[in-house]
Amino acid sequence: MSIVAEAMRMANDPPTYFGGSGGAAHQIPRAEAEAMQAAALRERFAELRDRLPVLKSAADEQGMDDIRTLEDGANLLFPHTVYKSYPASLLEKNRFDRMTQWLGRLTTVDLGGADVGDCDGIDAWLAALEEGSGLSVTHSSGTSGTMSFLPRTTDGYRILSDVFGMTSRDFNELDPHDHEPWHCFYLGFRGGRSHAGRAAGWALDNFARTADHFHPLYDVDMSSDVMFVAARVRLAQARGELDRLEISPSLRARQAQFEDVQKTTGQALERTFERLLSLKGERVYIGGMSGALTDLAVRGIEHGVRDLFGPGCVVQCGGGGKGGRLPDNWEQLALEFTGARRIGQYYGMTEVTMITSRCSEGHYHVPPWVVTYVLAPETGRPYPREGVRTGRAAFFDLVPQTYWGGFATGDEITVDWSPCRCGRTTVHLHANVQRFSEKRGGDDKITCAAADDAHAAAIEFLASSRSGAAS
Amino acid sequence: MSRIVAPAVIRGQVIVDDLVAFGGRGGEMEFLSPDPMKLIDRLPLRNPGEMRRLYTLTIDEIIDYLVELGRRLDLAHNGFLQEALEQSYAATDLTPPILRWQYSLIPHFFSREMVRGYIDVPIGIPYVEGWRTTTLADGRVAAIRAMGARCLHITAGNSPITAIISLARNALTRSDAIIKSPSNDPFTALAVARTMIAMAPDHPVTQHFSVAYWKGGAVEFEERLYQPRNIEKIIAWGGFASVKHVTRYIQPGLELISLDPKRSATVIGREAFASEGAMREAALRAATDVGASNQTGCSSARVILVECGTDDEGVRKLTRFGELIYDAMLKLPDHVSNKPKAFDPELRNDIQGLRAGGDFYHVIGGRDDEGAIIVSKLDEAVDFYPRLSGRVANLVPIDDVAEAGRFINAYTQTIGVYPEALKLRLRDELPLYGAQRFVSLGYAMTANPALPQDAIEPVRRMVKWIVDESCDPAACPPLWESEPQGSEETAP
Repeated sequence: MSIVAEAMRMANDPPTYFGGSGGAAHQIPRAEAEAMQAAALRERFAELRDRLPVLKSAADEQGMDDIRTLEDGANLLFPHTVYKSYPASLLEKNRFDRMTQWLGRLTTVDLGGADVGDCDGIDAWLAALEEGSGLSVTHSSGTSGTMSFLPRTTDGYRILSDVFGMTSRDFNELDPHDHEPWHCFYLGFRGGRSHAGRAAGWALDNFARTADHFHPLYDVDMSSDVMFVAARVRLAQARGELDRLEISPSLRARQAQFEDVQKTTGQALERTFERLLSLKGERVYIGGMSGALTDLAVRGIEHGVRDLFGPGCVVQCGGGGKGGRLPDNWEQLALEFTGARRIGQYYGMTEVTMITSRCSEGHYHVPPWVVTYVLAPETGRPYPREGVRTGRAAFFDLVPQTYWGGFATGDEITVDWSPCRCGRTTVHLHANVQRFSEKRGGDDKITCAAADDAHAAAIEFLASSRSGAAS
Repeated sequence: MSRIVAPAVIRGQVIVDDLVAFGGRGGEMEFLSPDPMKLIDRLPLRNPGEMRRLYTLTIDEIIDYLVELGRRLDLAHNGFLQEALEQSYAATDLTPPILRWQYSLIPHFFSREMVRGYIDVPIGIPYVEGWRTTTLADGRVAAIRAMGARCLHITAGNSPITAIISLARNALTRSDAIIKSPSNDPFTALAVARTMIAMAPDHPVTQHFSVAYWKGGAVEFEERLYQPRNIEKIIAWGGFASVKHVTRYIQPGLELISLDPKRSATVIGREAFASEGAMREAALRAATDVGASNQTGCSSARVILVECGTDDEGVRKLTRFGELIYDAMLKLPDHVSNKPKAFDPELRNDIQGLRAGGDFYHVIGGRDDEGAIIVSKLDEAVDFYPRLSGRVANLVPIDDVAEAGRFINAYTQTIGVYPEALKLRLRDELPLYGAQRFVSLGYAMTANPALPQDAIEPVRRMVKWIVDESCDPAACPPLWESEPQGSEETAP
């Protein structure tokens, strides 16, 4: 088989290519992986160059007709802001026709079949796109006040979920072929179209497998509209413009429904605690918010509960606590309470088909279907792919076939191009990831996992603005 | 490598002892300055009675002093200023031609007519020179005088002129000033203080002017200094974090005069499209408000509302107008504006995102970090408008200037307006939302310190208003002869 064909088999469906084995994915020699990456990158560019409007204009501008090397690919890394380059008022005014038109530039999927004219909110819009065009859009949490919308396909979602499964099994040393259900606690909303909501689905797909084994903290989906309101409230507060924030009548009409959701969150922790105790000794997976896990662990230890599930328990939580704060010893508390041996910690983002888990050396490993770049923060030019480099993280995700995978993030990372002592051959990142905007003292971000804070804040705003609103 | 030293000056004495290192912004430069903790006992004016000497001077004598100082602050002949300018290049956010030009403007701010205005316009010289009496309706005669106070000035580093303004206001109000220099301009106030010492070391104005550097937010130091027994007023210029930080020290007896962080907007009426000439004139003026001092001022134009209409024809006109602004900006004189020293990489990303994202914005320029004009095609500013900097402005089309209020908030300072007559329509309305200053388009980045600033009159706040009330029982009925009033009967 030619290297191109081999590379495309990997890029088109990495979990199938690697037989569902995360371990295998991280054992390809680097030179081989980079040769495959370069081949797949060239192929993706050829496929999308003239079919994807946003890529066509960027490539035309630079006069690029071919990508021969990984370095060439660095010329076509879209800034992360592309996926939020729409005026927020379109969402506030339910102009989903214009939003669809905008999104249409970012994907080759024909969105013409989606009936978005009557959509009364983001939830309805994304549902219409899903139904009418097969797009399974994932959006960011809106930490900057504006949501990114990534036009992933339903198939792309399935691949990402499988990637999550194989990575989780690899880094937790589980049998890649064990498909028996786990009791799966997801400490967050049951689902939704945000990255965090999608992550709940991955846990369901890969661990719970059946609905009766899935135990979300909040047994309801997180509304994208509520997340958007939360983001706008935060932004308006920061700008002293809260009095100007307008809530559309259609969203207002759903307020009671949102408030009901908020009410159910009150007893959620208690209910989850009881269920955890009832499953003592079972095979249990815990994912979601580390803040909720810490609350549960503190409560358990107060009740004298320790080593509840033994060393076979898998814990993969993150995201910080309410307001981003956690006790310094939260990991120790969680391990003591559950009995698990480690807490899986991940680095990933809405826009890239990867979940990178920390290895025994504390490094995040990037899988071979994603090309890593470290860019000089001032110039945006890539640093040489050798040694240890700190700069702006950029990735080329080779998986997507309908949107452009080249993507410069807002994160500062340190990449080590030498082999990792854990034995994996893949490129690895140090654990010191931070956002440039935070480094500059800019936005105070809500992490995706702190979604329940955001929900509460949005509901509070809706309630107070209704009572005080004259309009 | 030679080590740059920023001494402290305390009431006529230059101090170079106990030097410690401070890093400038962005890790770009390091300088040595006296350890603030070693200065703390000498920095405040312990005995406010010493300000008595300032009252041996007439205002005219103080003005004479400042005029003479201005004459000596001529960059061509003043070694202290020349040295400060050279040292500042590494610290400042401005480019060398702009900083040099601002230094060359210092004498202009000390001309006799200008200096007189700093006190006569906001307060009136008679109120600082002596007691002004007035008879009130209740028969009392009040004598009022504006007297000096012990002030700490936390100056901003985006222009060396802020140090000059602080000095002039301090002298004219007969106050005692401690200037806390900013890390992006640790040298200007110092050069001025050293010139004062060289000129008149024992003069009361020299003796009530001190300059020091400490890192803003050094809590241990600030908690000891920022006490009512040391300082009565803090005049804080500058960024959100620094002003917010100062509020923690405010207490009864210690007042904050806040010259808050601000942003500015621009409103351009449809008259700009009446003719090619009008369009070019408005574009040049708008370009000046965006580009002057490379958009580092709080009064720099950022979001520019243009009454061109929001239909396709309006957006087409706006795009052409944006091109004219961009071209005019690049042609501004080098000492007014040039390619910015640094460009915010996050903003660069935001701009690239709009460029690639297509439909809703048109970006003119910006490929070389030289500045850019972002044309909104809908009547909405970019989401990241508070971060516009490095000569990047956002043109927003509106159908009617009456909509301008939507874009104004509590953080809005200056509104540059074209044409002149439009100010009359806006000035009674936009202040309701937060606007503070209306100015002819093209003049946003020029200022006269005699005027109110940030919707307050800083000089009136800097002084203490003292009143002496004389009550002659014949004119002013005394309490001791007063009768109980009212009736105990209930109302019918």
